[in-house]
Amino acid sequence: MLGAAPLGGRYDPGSFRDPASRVFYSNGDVYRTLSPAGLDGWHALRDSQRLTDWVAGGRLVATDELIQDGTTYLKHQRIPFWSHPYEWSFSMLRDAALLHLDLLEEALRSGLTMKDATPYNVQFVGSSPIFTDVGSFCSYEAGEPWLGYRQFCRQFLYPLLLRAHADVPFQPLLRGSLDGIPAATARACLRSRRTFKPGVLTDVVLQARAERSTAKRSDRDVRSELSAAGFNADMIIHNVRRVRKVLQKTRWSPGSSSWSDYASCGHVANQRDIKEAFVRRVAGQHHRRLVWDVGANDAHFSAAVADMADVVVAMDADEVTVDRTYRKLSIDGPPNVLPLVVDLADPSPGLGWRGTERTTLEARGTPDLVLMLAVIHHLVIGSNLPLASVIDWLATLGTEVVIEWVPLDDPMSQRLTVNKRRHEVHADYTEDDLRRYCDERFSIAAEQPCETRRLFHLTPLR
Amino acid sequence: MILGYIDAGTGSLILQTVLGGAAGLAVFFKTAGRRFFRSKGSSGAPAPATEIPAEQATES
Repeated sequence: MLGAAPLGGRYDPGSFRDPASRVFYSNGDVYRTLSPAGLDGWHALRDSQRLTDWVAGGRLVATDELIQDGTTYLKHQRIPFWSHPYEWSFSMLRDAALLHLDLLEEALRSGLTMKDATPYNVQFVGSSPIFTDVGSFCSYEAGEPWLGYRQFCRQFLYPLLLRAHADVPFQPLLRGSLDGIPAATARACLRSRRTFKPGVLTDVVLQARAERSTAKRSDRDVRSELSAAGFNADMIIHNVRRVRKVLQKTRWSPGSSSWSDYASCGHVANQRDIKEAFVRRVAGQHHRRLVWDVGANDAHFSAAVADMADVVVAMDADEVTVDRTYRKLSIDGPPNVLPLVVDLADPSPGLGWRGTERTTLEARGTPDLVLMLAVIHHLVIGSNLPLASVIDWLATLGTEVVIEWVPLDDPMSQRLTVNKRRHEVHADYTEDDLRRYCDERFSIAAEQPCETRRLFHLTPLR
Repeated sequence: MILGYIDAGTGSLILQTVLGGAAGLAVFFKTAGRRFFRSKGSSGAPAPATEIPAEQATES
């Protein structure tokens, strides 16, 4: 689609919308090509003090210039595990939005601006947001408006306002449309008393009305009109500061969910020591590059193995729990645990153009250890996934697995089956069946009873 | 002019003047005023003559 990339590399399938720069990979490193306009933008950023400050502060990916055969490339710091905004919790998207606004204001004060305003330009290293799109920066030209304002509203602000004021989860909406939420849709969800929440009247109602009233006059050259009338960077800064205040007042108070207080359940507390010792024993056999903790809840076991891994991705389907975990990790660490909102029974698919613009979970990095603690019963009983299929999927990863077997008569399994004819629907959900399926695909390297449950360490058959 | 690759949206661009503080409001009224007087000027101008086909024009 994009032709051959330089340096014998391959282009990132999601990097093509801005023709000024494109990301490509070569020998495991991340690079960026630049058009003449992109090169001007890079020079403007490089020659400002901002680049050094932002990189030193961990807010922008470290970037080196590489000139080969007269062509300038940029070589970027590699992000340990790529995530998408529809896998983030409320606080993660909000922190990413605030980072974007901070960088934009500082850029404007240095004679720079940003061409876009999408959360896909932000990533998380552990629980710290970092801006990745160096190609977004260019020189500010007098008279130019904030080109990314509408995109910022659609992809950052409206998702946050909907969650905060209407308790509408934004993840399915962002997953459903890479362009984000239109103003008219946000307006439909934020009516009556919600109209008077911070930012709703100005950024949602007025914007929806402005978009509707100008829909038939899209040929009007407003940018030239604004430039001629004296629009300037101070007006953008005024607007950026106003939006920042809106975000600071936008808070989500979800209370508790079914899973947010799971760690304080009696059976969980009793089993934690046994599980932690088993998991640490397995993880510590050699250093791990990438660990997935599926159904991580408060990321207790992610933290337990964090010192044995480069990065641990702590996935849970419950946003309340993930948000709480993110805020805790942001303060206390460990710094290499990345919490994400992921339902393994419905994981992130390939999205966008050709279904490859935003990649699947598995395409972003194969783990060398998967923790499946107290989650198998949710997949098989809760989501009706066949046990054999779950074990088969784990085998396709070609990696080691720690799996906790939760029998059908376990109180937590019984909660999931109270309204089902469990012995008929889940006839093959027995420990014997698990062993049979595992024996076909794995070696059981170790096992340990854990009250009514059992822990297995599986290693892939070679 | 910056080569923006995303559609900034006509309505959103106009809205930015209103949200750009007092100076932004001044820009809003300046652009609105210009458009108003331009539309007044065009509506007050005599209607353009009906185009005459080239053949008739040369014959007369």
